[in-house]
Amino acid sequence: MQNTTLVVENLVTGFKTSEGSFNAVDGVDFKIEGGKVLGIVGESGCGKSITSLSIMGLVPKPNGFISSGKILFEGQDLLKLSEPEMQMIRGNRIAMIFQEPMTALNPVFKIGFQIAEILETHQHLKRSECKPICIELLKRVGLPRPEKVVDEYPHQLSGGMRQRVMIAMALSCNPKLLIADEPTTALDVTVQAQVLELMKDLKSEFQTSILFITHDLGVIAEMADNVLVMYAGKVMEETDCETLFDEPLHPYTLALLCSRPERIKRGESPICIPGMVPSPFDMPKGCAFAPRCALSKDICKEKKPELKAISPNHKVRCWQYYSEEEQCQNI
Amino acid sequence: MSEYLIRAKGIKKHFPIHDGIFSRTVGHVKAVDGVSIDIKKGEIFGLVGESGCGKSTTGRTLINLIEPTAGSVTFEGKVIYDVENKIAVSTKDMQALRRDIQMIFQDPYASLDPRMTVGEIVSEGIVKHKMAKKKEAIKKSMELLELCGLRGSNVNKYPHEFSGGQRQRIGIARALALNPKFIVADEPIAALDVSIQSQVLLLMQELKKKLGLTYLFISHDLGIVKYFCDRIGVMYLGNIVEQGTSEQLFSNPLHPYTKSLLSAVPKTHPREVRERIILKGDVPSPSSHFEGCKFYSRCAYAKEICNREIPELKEIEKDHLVSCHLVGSGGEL
Repeated sequence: MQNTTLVVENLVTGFKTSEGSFNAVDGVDFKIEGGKVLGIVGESGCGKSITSLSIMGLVPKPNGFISSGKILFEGQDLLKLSEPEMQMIRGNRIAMIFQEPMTALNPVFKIGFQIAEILETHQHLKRSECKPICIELLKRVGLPRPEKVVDEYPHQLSGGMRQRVMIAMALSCNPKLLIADEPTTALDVTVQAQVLELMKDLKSEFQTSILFITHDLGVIAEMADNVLVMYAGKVMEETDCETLFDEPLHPYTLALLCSRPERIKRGESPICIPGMVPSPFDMPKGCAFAPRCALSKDICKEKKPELKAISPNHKVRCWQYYSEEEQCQNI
Repeated sequence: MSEYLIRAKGIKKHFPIHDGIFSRTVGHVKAVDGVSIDIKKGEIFGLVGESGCGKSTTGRTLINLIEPTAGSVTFEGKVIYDVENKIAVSTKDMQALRRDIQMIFQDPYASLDPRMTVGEIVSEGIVKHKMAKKKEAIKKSMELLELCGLRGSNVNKYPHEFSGGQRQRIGIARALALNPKFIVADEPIAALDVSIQSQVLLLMQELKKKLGLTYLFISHDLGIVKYFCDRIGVMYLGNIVEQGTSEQLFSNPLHPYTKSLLSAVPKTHPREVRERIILKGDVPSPSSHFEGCKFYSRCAYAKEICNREIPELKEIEKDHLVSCHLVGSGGEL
């Protein structure tokens, strides 16, 4: 149990806007063991990316702020660190892969320069020592002709190659934790399969923990050991990957699983979740999913349910799983 | 007379590459390189492939939005263009044809003019084709919006007031405004959230039943194409490499490219075991010159003949066409 890489406790991240302030992430708890993959699934606007930015200390300032919670990385609270201390960790022991390989690389610098920058900062290498290491890193992520690629600019590479460069950069310092924010969304299925395969290999080779953020349940089935389902800034269901697919408990999870196109037989109409994600300024009083839920009852509209443990490794936030008495006590 | 609504034969689109101070043409990007598609009335034809394989260009060339380099297209027996025989419809006739042929675009954020109200966007075509006066047209667009699951009172709002899924519904309402027969849907759900995707697909399916539409559905997502389309064409570098009904293609893929494409789709369950055929390398540039099969450099089964001769699209069973030297010739695959 000493092998826990990251513990997040009651994280609340809010934003101030001209229309008022709201909490994009609203009391999220989770932990990641060494060498494991935690998947976070949810639709856009559910707070999954903000969770990852909070861990990296990259919440946009001054409008974004972390109002409470703890982020313990190898026992150290990241929220208590100063910016220079955080810089020592960021890109070094915690690395991140962004969604858009097009925008995350700097278009005016060569690939080799961008990787060398990290090595110079964190490993205090000289510029001249970096090049062979860069080539080695690019080779490791399976890029063809790495000796040439180090001297090329991002626009000369395809989307899949750029994403590999991003992964090479993230791995340059052998991080303990890798945060991958929709790393394959912008890629074709064939390239996606290559990139996922690569991440799996690296995980088993270096015992890196991965926080994998995606909206694609197929990718979750492929990669994750444990899964968090998020909706409107809250964790709705938390369990291991197989249980999630075998016995999903929350109506939202169920609906997400059912609306996957692969599940639908030809000629049948797809099952869809009516309505949309509520606006953060206009959150329902009760459960955030109640307006779209087929099973919602009176209590769902009145009061927010808490995350309840159904079994040791399965938690769900839904009134259905409370007994009548518990429901009455809460009203 | 014919069961086919639109028939395309050998359409090609080559974009010239200019270089040097005099902008001389130094080569061609063969985005579409000889595609033949016949789409029956009331059918949904799917076009799948990786990005850059020419699916969107095929869709646009098919309906004469881009000037073709070669080939011919007939719509309801009427020739739209026939490059070899130098036939092309007049601009006026094409305008009339545009009523029957409409398009739904991929990005609902880019395809709606932010300075027009929703009513103006939807009714623009009606006014342009003089099918009704502006006031009536706005009334018609209210009906259309309701048909697409939005409130009719939204006509005075602007696109930025809507979410992605709602915008796509506006795009669909606009496409329906002229009572078209044929709609080209270019990745209509790629930019939407998972739960919204199924809503839009459901809408498209209902409208097809209600209005008797025919779709060309362009997508890179095999999972969606599988259940949504009747027949599917798989494209690779400007050519259709395999074509068949949805059942044929998914239960019995024959072309090595289709096989690897299907194997790359993520699992549906964590315990599912799937054998991956990982393709080597990247897609070659569409401007390079090919002696033989374009898939040769990435194919795991490639033989010597594949580098020498271009395979033809041949019918293996009814409706199932494959262009591969090794299929049907007794070759081991």
